[in-house]
Amino acid sequence: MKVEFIKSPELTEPEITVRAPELTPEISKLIASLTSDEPIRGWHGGEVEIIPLADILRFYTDGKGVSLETEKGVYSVRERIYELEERLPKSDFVRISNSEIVNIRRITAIDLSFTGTVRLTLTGGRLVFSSRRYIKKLKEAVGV
Amino acid sequence: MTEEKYSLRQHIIRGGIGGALGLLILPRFGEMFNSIIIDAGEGGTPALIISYILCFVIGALAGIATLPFADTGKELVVRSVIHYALTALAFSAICLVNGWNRGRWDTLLFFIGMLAVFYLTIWLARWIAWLGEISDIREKLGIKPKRSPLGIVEALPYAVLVLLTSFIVSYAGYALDRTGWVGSIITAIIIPAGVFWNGVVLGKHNGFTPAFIVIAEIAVIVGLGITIFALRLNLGFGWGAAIPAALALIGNLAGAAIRKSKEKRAE
Repeated sequence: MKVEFIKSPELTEPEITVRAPELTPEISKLIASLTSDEPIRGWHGGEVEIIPLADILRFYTDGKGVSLETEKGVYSVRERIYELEERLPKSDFVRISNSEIVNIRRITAIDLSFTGTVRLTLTGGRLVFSSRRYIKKLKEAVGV
Repeated sequence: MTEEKYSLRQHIIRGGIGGALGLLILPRFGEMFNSIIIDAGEGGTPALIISYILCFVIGALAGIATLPFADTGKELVVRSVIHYALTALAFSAICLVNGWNRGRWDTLLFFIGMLAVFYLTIWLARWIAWLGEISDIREKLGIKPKRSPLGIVEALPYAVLVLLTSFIVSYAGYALDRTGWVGSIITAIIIPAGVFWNGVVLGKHNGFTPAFIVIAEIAVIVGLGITIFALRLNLGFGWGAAIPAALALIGNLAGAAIRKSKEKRAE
């Protein structure tokens, strides 16, 4: 794939054009990744913080609302879980249960219990659990 | 269609088909003990009617047998235990009504125990399938643990499944036909096919696993050995004893080849 950078001082913000003979699934994935990695706004103690997607371990609902967790701490998020699921890049984030979305890049171990429950270990040792029903999504996300 | 409605429809369809098959097959199964279901009388006795109802119930329970294993976690355990308890209850009832246990409680307990081993085998087969998926995900994420020497740890669940299958299949085969030819055919076809298939699946997920060839052979010998001991059969292993190891090797190599070709295509 040919990648070219053109310096254009007249532009007010970066502009990316993807040219290809046809729109393949790979190109769609590339476009999606370019357009949807907007950082997330997280609220903590009344203050808002811009959080890069790469820093996020997981999003989860705890009955009070949606929160996101990084290695530094927990923040509140205004979006709902299903909105986040649609918005976040599918190649990086996957829903693992009714109440949780995890950053695939932050998974450090996966274990299977005798009853089929899947335990995911995230960076820093955080343990989260998924059921067989959601494993299909994880398989699709990683390309199995 | 809602999930509940779909699930109910699945239960009705599978239960109905299973029940019908139960009516066809179970009376024949009873022939190995006695012929009470077949010859209970033209006019029909309460025992005969109850027996046919129980044949339908057991068949229906077998028909929906995969559904309790469809979920995970605590729900899976609860549903499986309930299903097992109902099946054991219906099976105990048919044994008592028809005298299949020959009036002995220890025989009845043995049948219920065999049913538990059968459930354990089905559950292990499913768990191994899940484990294969997890292994593939780990690999894609680059977090697959380092392989154990000769793949012993990776091969172990498959070997336990081979052992349980060898025991259940050979026991059922020889118990159904004391003259031995049904048992011999089942033992010569289903067990080797099972060993081969386990080798293929293991190879697909873990590549060539030398330990499997040895422990699959041991598993088959132990499984068949338990049957020979329990039924006091006058059987030896002879030259055929090497067949499981050979099939484990061929199956495992085939699985490893499938895996390699998949990897090449992905590149």
